[in-house]
Amino acid sequence: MRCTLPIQTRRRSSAVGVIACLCLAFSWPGVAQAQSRVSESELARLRQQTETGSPTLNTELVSAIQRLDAADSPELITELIFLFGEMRYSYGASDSALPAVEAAYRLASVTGAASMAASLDGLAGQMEFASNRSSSSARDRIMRALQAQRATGRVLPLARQLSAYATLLQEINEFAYAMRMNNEAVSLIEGDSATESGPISSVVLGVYYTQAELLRSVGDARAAIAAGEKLLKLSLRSGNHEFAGFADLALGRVFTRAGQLDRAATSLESSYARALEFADPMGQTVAALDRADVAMERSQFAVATVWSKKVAPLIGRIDDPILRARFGLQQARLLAIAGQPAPARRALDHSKAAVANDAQVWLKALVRHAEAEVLASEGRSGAALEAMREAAQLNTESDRLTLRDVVAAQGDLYRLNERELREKQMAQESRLRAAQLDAAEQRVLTQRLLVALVTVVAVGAVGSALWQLGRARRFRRRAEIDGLTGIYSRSAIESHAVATFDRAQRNNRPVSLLIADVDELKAVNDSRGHAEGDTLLRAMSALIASSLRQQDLLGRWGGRRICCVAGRH
Amino acid sequence: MVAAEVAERVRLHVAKGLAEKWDGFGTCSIGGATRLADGETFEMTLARADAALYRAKEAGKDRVEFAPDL
Repeated sequence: MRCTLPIQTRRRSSAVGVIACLCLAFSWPGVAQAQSRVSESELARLRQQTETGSPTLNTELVSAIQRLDAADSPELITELIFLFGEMRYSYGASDSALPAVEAAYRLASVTGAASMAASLDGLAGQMEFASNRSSSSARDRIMRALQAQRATGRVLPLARQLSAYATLLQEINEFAYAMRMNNEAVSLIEGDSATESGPISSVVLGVYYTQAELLRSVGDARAAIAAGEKLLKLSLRSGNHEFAGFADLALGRVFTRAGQLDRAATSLESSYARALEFADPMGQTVAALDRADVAMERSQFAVATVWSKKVAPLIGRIDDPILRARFGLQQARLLAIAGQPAPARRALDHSKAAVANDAQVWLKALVRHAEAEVLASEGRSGAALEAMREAAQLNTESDRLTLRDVVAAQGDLYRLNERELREKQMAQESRLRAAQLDAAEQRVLTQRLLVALVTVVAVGAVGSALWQLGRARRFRRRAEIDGLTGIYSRSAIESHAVATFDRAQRNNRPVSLLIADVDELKAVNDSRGHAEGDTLLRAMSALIASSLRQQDLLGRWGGRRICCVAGRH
Repeated sequence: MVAAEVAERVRLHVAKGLAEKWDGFGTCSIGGATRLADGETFEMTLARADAALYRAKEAGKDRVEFAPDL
């Protein structure tokens, strides 16, 4: 023992040194930190916050990491770095934390913590993939982590790893393999009696979310609905209402694809309400946009307008170009139907230009559909019909491409026999052919009928669009967090504040605003340089965060201001 | 604890935490306002907090000013 202990300690202390250096990017030297050790209860709280999300998680984790020293156990050190790495990853800031995760991975490896080492290795792989360095090296790494995690036999870390791998495979359109990986995760957590009672880990909820999305991707509506309903039930039982909103969104989309538009509308409205409650602009945008599409498919144009209007004030904050284009095209269609050709044309041209360089076929189809309606409203029936026919062709092509990816997955995973598969393909093709034939016969009909027909033909494109949209979800936190201070960005704090004020009004509760302004930031910038000015701002936001409660909201408000929203203390 | 006291606690915590390294440059001024119960929106409360912040700056910085509850 006496021989091995000093070596262990030395290794550990050098790893702590490396980690401390690597975390300097998030540190604020000179801050009078309480030098207390990180206690078990603090770690438990940090774990809990990671599960449910918290605006102060970043500052609290960094504070805990800074208080680590070589005497702390490697278990504590590596777990804190893992939580930190996971958080930065979910915020879309993988680059900044990758070196610390690598160092913690080495520490876990030399101290024999196999399961944690595998988790850190896999996380590093996910981070590499997110930073787009190389999908093949990231994949190798995640596979290595998976094998190591299998050897440890620990259920939740293994399920998490399997689901992470499935998500990566989904991104690169390897649906069959993705399904197999996630199915294994599902059977693991279902076989694990620990999940039967008590609060449900976000790992388990994440596995079911991936399941529902994957099943929708491969067109198995019934199984996707079952997975979505299960996720909804578990989220509610666990009191995790944010996840319940994700479940409703997944359900709403698969109901839409399955043509169950009543149920789709209900689920999407519920998802929207939950996103509103959590002041999640991305969740509100996606749910309202999808809800409006459902209304348009049912030719309920007044309802569609109501939902589309809910998107209008939010869309400016969403950086996803595809979502913005979808909204623009939806507006163009609604305006065209309302008999306002000039603004419809403007909305159309704007969105068309925005996605001109995007080669995705389903998107081109969506553009042509909107164009057909705008042309119809301009009274150019011939050109409208031409656009519509082209849209139908693009639609067929898009479905063919999706089908090509999906058929492999279906053939492999559901063991559909060839006859069933052929029937399915033929049914799909004949439906599309019928739509095209219809289109040709409609040449002589009125504009109104034309509009209705386009709506029918659009079903396929909307299905593909929704299939694509699942990907935007994961990146929603990217724009929410200010990179410098780790607190909410301006747009995020604003939408959270507005929602808090609405709630305060409804519940007749007090709420206060504090605007803190750094007094001498300009003097510091001028005399010590902007890097020091940044350090000051970061230090100040950390101190403000630590003097408020967890449930108070904190965000950047312009260059040198910090906005706090607080209920009664 | 009323919001003005919370604000004062925040200001003190910041000033104390930053005093040493920042040599008098690590202070902040805070403007605060509590939402009026008669349906005041975020923008309206924000405008009052902003005006309070302006008064704190005018009065010599490193202090809290709270908007009166009208």
